[in-house]
Amino acid sequence: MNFGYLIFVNENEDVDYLKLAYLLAISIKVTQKEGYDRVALVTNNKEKVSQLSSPWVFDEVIEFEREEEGWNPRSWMDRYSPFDYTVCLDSDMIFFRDYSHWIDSLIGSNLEIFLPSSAYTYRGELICDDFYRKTFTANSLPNLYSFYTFFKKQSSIREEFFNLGRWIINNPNDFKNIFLPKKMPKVVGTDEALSLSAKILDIDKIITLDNNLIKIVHLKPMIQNWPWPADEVFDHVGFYFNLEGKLKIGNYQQNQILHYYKKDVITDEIVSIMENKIWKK
Amino acid sequence: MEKIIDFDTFIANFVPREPEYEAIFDDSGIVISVRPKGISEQVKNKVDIDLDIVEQIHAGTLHLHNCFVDLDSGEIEITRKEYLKKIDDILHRIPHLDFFDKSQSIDVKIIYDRKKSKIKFSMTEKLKTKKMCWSGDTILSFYFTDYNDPHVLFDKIDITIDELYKKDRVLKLEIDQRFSIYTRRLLKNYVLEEKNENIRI
Repeated sequence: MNFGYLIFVNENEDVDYLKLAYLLAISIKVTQKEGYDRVALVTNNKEKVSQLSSPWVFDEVIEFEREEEGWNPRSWMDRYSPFDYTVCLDSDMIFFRDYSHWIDSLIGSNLEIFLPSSAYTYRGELICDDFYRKTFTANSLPNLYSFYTFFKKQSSIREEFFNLGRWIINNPNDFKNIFLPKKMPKVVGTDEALSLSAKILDIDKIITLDNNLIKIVHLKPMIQNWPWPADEVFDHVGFYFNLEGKLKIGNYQQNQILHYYKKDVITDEIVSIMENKIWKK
Repeated sequence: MEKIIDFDTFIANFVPREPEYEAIFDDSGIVISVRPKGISEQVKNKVDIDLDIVEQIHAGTLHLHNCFVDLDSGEIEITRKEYLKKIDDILHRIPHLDFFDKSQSIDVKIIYDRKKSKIKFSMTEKLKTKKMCWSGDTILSFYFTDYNDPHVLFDKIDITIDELYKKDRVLKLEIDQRFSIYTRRLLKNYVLEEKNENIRI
């Protein structure tokens, strides 16, 4: 089985996305068992990768030559993946334990594409609030999250699904006016584009699982099921990353994949803790 | 030769100047008056003040006696009742000197000597010279915990602000592993330095 994780980094002056991707890759190498721990990086600045202390955590580094802004390069995940089975991740995520059984389940279920349709708070509660997803609710879009996108290379629907997703991203106005007239988004991001692509192709029911196996914690502040509004999650609960590479948010030990969203929470200290973990492995 | 300006053009292009103000303060830094800038060059103790602060003073939402000038930075400081709201204020992890932003000034320095099992708390002279009011019996609590995990408590030390103001405190403390110190952030910047540290990350 040729499986691996794929991470995109589009160089940005405001955020060091390579550092986030590097930490994610280390956490994958530390926690996943052999055969499930391969990581490919797609970046528009290959040179910077060689400046990292342990660039070998990326099994492959692939140059992204296209001129794309922000997160748009991610829509090319199916073209750039070197693996037969791929999970494309957002760079602002981190692993805490072995999730190889998730991959076995996805491959075993003969899924050609998978995107989670739910996310969880740091307390493990299902996120019910659509604060950041008004467009999805108002226009009956399938509630898909692209931060964990699984796909199989040899697939009949893969190409159609991603091609349409790219077309939507590159021609947002053509689709917004017809399919997203209510609570129209200013920018059609990867989540909206891939969800709309699934809806148009009528495959939204066959690219998700209902078994609640795959749980990703999403740390956007307004969807933590708190009874008060919040600008920042970490104004309200602490972020405690110990020397074992384990994380508590408030009183809650984190065991699921974490999409931390707030980039500056990842300090050089955390990176150095994880580097020590990988060097000792 | 005098140039005649067309009034209509003048008024159409006229952009009123943003008013600028300055604060006059005494030798201890207390602001005693606020006035438009450039009235007189004779006063030495003066500093520019933002328009929004002037407006707050004018509206009565900010009292002049709450304003003073930080003589080090030359900036206007406003005393307010501080409320600890964020989790980082209530349970603040004291950063290690290696990770401390060196552009910030230190208020309380903690030095731990692992070999001698001694810990020293000191208030910096810079903080002592600041015009600050506090209740002397206010307790600074320091929680010694597992590294970056306040859930695992090893020890706790309480020191009043008065004690720390008068002299450095040196106490016996034996912790044989990496630890973090958490505290309520009553003062702005605390820093931890470790000596004879052989347990690195």
